[in-house]
Amino acid sequence: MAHTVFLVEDDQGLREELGTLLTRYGYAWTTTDDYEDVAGQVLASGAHLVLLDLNLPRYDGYHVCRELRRRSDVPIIVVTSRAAELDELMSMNLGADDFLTKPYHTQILLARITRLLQRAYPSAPNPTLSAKGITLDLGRSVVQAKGGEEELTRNEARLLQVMLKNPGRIVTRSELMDALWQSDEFVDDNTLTVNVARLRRKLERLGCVGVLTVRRGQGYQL
Amino acid sequence: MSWGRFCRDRLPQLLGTALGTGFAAALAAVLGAPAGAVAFLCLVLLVCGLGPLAAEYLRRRAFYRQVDEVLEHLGEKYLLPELLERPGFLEGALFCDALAVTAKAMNDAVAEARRDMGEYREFIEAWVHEVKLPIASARLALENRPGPLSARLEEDLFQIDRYVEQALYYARSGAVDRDYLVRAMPVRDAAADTVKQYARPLIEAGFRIDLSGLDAVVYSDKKWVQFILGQLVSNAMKYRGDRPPTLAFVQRLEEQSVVLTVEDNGVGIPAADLPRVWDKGFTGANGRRLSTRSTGLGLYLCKKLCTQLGLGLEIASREGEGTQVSIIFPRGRFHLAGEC
Repeated sequence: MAHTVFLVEDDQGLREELGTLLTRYGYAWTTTDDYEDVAGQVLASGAHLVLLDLNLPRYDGYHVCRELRRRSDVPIIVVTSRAAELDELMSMNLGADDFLTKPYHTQILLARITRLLQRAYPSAPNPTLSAKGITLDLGRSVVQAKGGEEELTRNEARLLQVMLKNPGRIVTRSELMDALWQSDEFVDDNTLTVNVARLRRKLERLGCVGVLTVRRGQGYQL
Repeated sequence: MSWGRFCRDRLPQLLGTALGTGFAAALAAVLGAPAGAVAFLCLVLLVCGLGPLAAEYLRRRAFYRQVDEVLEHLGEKYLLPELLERPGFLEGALFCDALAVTAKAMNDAVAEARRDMGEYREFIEAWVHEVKLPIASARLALENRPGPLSARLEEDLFQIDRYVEQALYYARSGAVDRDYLVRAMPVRDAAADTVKQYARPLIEAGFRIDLSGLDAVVYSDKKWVQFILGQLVSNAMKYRGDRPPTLAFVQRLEEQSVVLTVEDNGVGIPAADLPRVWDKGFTGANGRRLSTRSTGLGLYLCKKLCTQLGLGLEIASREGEGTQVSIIFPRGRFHLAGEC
């Protein structure tokens, strides 16, 4: 079952886009327009994680954060457009698990969501991503296909994750490099080539020959 | 105020006394008074004339000494009247009253200017806060619809975001009140997060990144430091040369400080321009030649923010070889205690 994320965000456009993003990455989501008792609604919804904006119409995010923490251990990520260290400190002191500044990098947001969910619900089955007969187990970094399974390195798993999110589309080298950089691997062009080559070999060993194709000068396509 | 200057100031009175005494002595002598009586008369007249002058001098001296002393030790000189004792003599009292009125007007004007500036800054902060929302929303919308157009627009949005950020820190840099939070900060985190923030443009430009060997922990505000590093990274991208570009973050431990240097292998800065790079609006030869995007604001802002944070900022460069900009973090508890 997909984990549910509760979006506490009063900007409708942003909320819709966030929702679309979460859906694309295999999460369910829910939200509210009633800011009277946000904490109560979150708890009633049974959501697994809360994305909380600090700037809210009725009570501010700090209040919601405190309320939630008083009544539950649900993971909270505070998201704000105020880039101040003090906000971060305040949020953490009120029991938030993580803090991000808008406009955030979506890869970072998703990585933090995955990490928090794994920590809070270790018994839940690992989230997986599938396309074209290939399944990536995000928790164990293992790729499965009809020919069995192969273990992946951290970098290979990151690369495959990006590809699986965009089946059929040519993913540029820059996009792939960016994904690696965001996970603290500041690789150069050559390393990327090597990593992709290794990933392709592993896929071929699983019987997926020609699934990951090179588009010269453009990128890669799954 | 010296006795000599005071006497020169009171020359007419002195001359009057001398003239009066001389005249009285001459008259007494003509009338046939004995020499002793004439001398005594002169003495009395001189004492009567000069005594009050001396008394006046002493009173004034005390007052003006106080003025001098206060002015010497006071940081904000316009607060002088607050600290002066109102003197007993008339001119001093009038002077003091006038000064008090002036100072009050001045204080009001300063307070109003400060309030205006504070309000303006608050407005900028609120505005930045507001405008980040649609930026975040637009970015997500593009992320959800990948394609060539999205990639193009993402670049522009990134630029917009950077400019907005610059406005925010420009507003913050002029603030009198401190708006930052000093905490333990691993330099690698600050460097890595900055590189992540600029990942896309750095990748497109083909940069090689070196973050190895960063393990020091310093005390500062991470957001501010990251902004400063961001400006330096942005400069490295603007002024890259023809060689494959590299960007290295290097730390050096000194006895009193930790130095974080951002090194590039770009076009460098001509020696003649180097002393002026911190000036507001200075773009130099590189700005004219290479980039239409030079505003002369980045390094100026960096310097200002560093000064506020109590950090040092130094630059070294050789034309054609590259530029090194170093942030100097003072070491130890002293700094932490001083800023908290």
